[in-house]
Parts: sequence; structure tokens; C-alpha cells
Amino acid sequence: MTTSRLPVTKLLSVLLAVVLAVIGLALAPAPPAEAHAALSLSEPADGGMVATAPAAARLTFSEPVAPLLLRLLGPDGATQELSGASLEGDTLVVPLPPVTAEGTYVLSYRVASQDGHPVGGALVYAVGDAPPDRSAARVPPPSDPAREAAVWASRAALTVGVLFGIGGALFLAFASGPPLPSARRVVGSALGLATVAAPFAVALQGLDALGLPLSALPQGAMLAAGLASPYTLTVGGALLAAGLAAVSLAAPSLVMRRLTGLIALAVLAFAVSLSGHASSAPPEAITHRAVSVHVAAAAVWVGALVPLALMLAARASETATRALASFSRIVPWAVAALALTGGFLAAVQVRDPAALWTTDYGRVLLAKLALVAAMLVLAAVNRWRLTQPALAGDATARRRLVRVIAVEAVLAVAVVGTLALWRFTPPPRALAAAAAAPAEVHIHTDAGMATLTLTPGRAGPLAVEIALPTADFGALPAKEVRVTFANAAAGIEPIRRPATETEGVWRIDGLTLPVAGVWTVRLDVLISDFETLRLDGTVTLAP
Amino acid sequence: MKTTILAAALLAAGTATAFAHATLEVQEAKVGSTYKAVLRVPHGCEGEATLKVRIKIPEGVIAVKPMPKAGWTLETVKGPYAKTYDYYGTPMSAGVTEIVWTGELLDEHYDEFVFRGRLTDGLPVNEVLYFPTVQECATKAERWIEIPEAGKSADDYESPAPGVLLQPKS
Repeated sequence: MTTSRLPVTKLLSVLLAVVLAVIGLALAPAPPAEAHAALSLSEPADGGMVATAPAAARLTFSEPVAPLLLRLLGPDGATQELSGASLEGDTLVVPLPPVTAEGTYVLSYRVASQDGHPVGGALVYAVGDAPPDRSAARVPPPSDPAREAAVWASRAALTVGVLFGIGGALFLAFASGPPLPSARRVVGSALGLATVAAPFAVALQGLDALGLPLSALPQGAMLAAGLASPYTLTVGGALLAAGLAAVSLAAPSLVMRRLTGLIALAVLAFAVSLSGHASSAPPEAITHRAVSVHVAAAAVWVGALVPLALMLAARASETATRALASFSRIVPWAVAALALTGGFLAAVQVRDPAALWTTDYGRVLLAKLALVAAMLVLAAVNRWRLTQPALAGDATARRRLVRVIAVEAVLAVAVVGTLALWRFTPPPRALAAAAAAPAEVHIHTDAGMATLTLTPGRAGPLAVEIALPTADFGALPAKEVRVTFANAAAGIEPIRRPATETEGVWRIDGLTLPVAGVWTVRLDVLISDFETLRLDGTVTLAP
Repeated sequence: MKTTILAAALLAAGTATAFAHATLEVQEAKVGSTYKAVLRVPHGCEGEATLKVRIKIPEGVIAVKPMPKAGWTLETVKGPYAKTYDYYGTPMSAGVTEIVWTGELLDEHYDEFVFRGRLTDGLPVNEVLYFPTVQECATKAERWIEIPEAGKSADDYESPAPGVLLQPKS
């Protein structure tokens, strides 16, 4: 017993050192928190003018969102919290208070996107006939490095806990003989770490969602915001899995230990597919399962490391040898599953290989891959150099094997620490989607108004959609609509196109606006045979 | 080089066509007088023959009578005026609001369409009174219906409505 205690403490102190080191590293760059639901349209438009204060604002995002915090900053500088927002498809409808004062208003929003990550922003509009004053726009709450570090640490701790705890319990259940008490203790503490980290992860998620500083931690609203996030489902599932793993650890019969261990792994695999960037990437039916398999395989591999090392170090010769034999039988399959699903998910998320080094997400992935590669090298050394002699009873080989496995476990912790950084980096897939967000121009005159949506909002081939609402938000009875795009600065002559109508919406397809920059837009709307409404505006296209 | 010249020629031709607007022959008239309007139609709809010419009579122009035209069917649309006008002692509250000539005018031909009407006293002087006009062809239409905003003239527009500058009563 005393012989096995020493390596355990040693191993734990090494793990702690690595966790602290990775926390230190993560604090340094602190990438900005932004996730991938992007605001694509708003009514009133950002930078737009409305004659009278609208009764409600409509914010359309690239995917359904949940409102977290909505505030209206009036021209007098007073801030009002807005409640009662409802979701219509991808559009958030925010009732606005009845205001009469003319001037610049700032609608600040913070919403949770589908994967649970918060997105913040503000749109500035003016009521009256003067354009909005941009300087009135206050930047949404700044990113708080301490808060982000705490979010990161809670997530990393939870992940380390469940991988080592559930994987460890499973390994102990399937390794022959009664579990080694020291291994049981380590696996139990990993499960304990997950249990402690879980409520922090949820609370910090809420804190981050509301953009509050770390000092505001004990607040009901924040916990509610955290609980409302889909990440809570994942955490809840992980907690359940950790509980099952604890049952497996303590269960008297072998069948029960194995059964609950497997159920714990399945619950964990399902739970992790409920939130996160990767699970919300299309094709979802496949990415969900890939995430599940990936995490389950990681738990099988990583979770086995610490108990195996302890068993080998404890010189419980017969059982340890058999455990090593089954480990080297099973783990190659887990590694293959990891590589397959990981490769697939990376391909979905990164798309363009250049994004590996041009985006934060890609750099995190590269770092993770480097650490995994180091783990694989160690695993290969174990397998082809040390396993056979150790199985044959070579004591030196066995000692070295223990040491290498310990290093492997430390690397696994570092991998988890790295991938927890993904919480702060939108995948290139989402960045590409944001770049393809439509450009919008809202024209409002005494005679009438129009909203043109250019998709995608960048130079090149695009489609134009024109909505012609009347002052009371009915549709303007137009007989013909012609749109003229001109870019005199780029020396491009006016491009004129007739629009065709389907169900109240006018469209132009197959249009190409060749250069980025500011284009003037002119709309000729034929209202009756002898009456035309002319609307002029500008739209800015991204390159 | 050849393409450049060709492009320049085409551009010049296009510009020339665009500038040939439908206009009124007499571009100034006094309020409180009877005005003989002669609408000049310079071309069809981008090559198509004109099959219908429609003129909208603006408010304040009363007792309108179009001149029949050989080869063209003449119709008028009558409706109420916004208010009752005094026409030589007779109150007049309705009358012709639109004139429609139906026939055929080839794109390469020119023609004129004539009507007369009373420019009532209340019309704003030193301003242009516009007669929105539509040429309908087989598949297209040429709409001379743009009414310049304050501070702009018909020259700023591609398809301005024909107009007459109103002069004070002498």
C-alpha cells in the first residue's frame, strides 16, 4: 500500500503543475470572446433613420438565438432594460418602450447562439430626421480576461475530470481483479473534480453570457442565464455520467461495475453532442455522432492511462500484466476512432487548410494536434519498445513504461487545456458564414420606404431581395420595380435590372456587382401607370 | 481600336435616343387661358411600335377636348376633379382625366397628339405643370412620368413627364 502511495502523489503534483502552467499560458493571449451567431439584418437598420420611434425592433441572426440581455440607450443617456423579446424563426422581436424624444438610440444586445456561446453587439439608429450620432454608441461590455480565464479553467477542469474519471472507472471495471485502491482513489478524485467544476462551469457560462465581471459571480440572473444555455445540458449529462462512474467504482459485482461504466461512457458521449461548435456544424446528424465517438474514444484512451500506470507501478504483477495486455488490445481502436472522427470534424470546421494558421481556431487545432502527436509518439514507444519486455516480466521496461505513461497522461491534460480554448475562437466555418452575411440598405423617405437585401454582401454574383413596406408595414402595391446600381468612383456605369415579384417580395437574381465599396442604389417603383416612386440610397459591399 | 470606335458610336447613339423625350411643343402658357397641347412622340419602346398613347390630365386643367386622329381610336376617361372650378360662370366638378389614343406608330416614325384644355386660374405660376404620358407597345412601355423634385429640372431625369411652364395671367 505504502509503495503505491508515493507515485500517486507524485503524479497528482505533476498534473497540478501542468494545469497551472497551461492556465498561465492561456491567460497571456486571451482571445476575444465571439461565437458564431451573427446579426445579419435589423429593423431599424444599423445606422438608419426612422421617422417615428418603432414599436419593436427586429434582429435577424444567422441562426436561432436566445435573448440574454437587451438594453436601449436613449438620447438622454438613460439606459432601459428591455424584456419580453420573442423569437420568430431566426428573428428576435424586441418590443421597444414608447419613446417620443428624437435623437440617437443604441440598442445593445447580448444573445446566446445555438451552441450556447454568447454574442454581443449594438445597433445605432436615429428617430427623427437627423442621421444617428455614432459617437453615442457605447461599446458592449468589454471582454474580461479574468472572467475568460475562469470560464476556461472551469471547462478544462470539468473535461479533465470526466475523461480521467469516467475512462478510469471503465478501465478499472474491465481490468481483471479487484481495483487497486490507489487507482480507485485517483479515479474517484477525478470524478470529484468534475463534480466541483460543473456548477462553476454553468455559473461562469452565465456570467460570460451576461458580460458581467468576475466579481458579480453570486447572482441569480447570471445563474439563470447559465442554466438557459444548451451548455447546461452537456454539463448536466456529464455530471450524471460522473455519478454513474462513481457507482461503477463502488459497485460490489463485476457485472454491475462494467454495466454502469459503459452506461456512464454512453451518457457522456451523448451529453457532449448537445452543445458546442462542432455539434452545431452541418451536417448535424453526422457531426453529433462524430463528437460523441470522439469524446468516448478519448475517455477510453486517456482514462486508462493513470490506473494502468499505478497498477504497473504497484507491482501487482499478475493483474497488472493482464491489464496492460487488454490496454494494448483496446487502445489502438480508440486511437483510430479518435483520428477518424477528429479528422472529419476538423475538415468540417476548418474547410480551407490555410485557416489552420490564419485563424485562432486553426492555431488552437494545430497546438492540439502537436500535443496529440507527442502522445502518439509516446504510445508508439510504449507499444513497440516497452510493452513486450514488460509483459515478459522485465522490471526496467516496466518502470520506464510507467514513466512514459505518466508523461502521456500529463500531455492528455495539456490537450484538454488547449481544446478548452476553442470556447473563445469561432471556427473558420462560422467566420466564412459571417463573411457571406447579406448587406442591407434601408431607404426611408416621406414618399415611401424600401429594404434591399444583397446576399452575400460582398462583391461578385449576388441576389437582391426588395421589401416595400408602407408606413403601416403593409406591402406597397407596386406594379414594376427597377433597381439601378452605380459606382461612379470605380468608373462603373449604372447597372439597371427589373425585379420580379413573388408573394410580395421583389427579387433580382443573377446580378453581379463587380467591385467592393459603396454603391449607389436607386429604386424606381411604379405605383400606377402614371405614378412612380423613386428611392435613392447606398450600400457597402465587402471585398 | 475598332471596338472602341464601335462602342463610342453605340454609346453616342444610345445617349441620343435617351435624350429624345416626349415633350410638349408649346412649353410656356398663361394660367387662365386655354392651352393647345401638342404632344410630340419621338420614338417607340426600344424599337417596338407604339400601340397606345395615354396622357394623364393634371388637376387644375379642365374642359379637356382631345383632337381625333386619323387611323387612331380615341377614348377618354372621365372622373371627378378634386374641387369645383368655374368655367365661364358654369361650375365644373368632373371631366376628362385621361386621354387614350389607340393605333400604331412605328419606332422609326414621328407623330403628334393634340388636345386642348383650360389652365385654371388657381394653378401655381412660374412652375412647370406636368402631363404624365405613357406609350404602350406590344411587350414594353415607355413611361414619361417622372416629375422632378423641387430644385431639379427635367434634364436631371431619364423619363421626365412632358410639362409646360405656367406664366402669370396678363
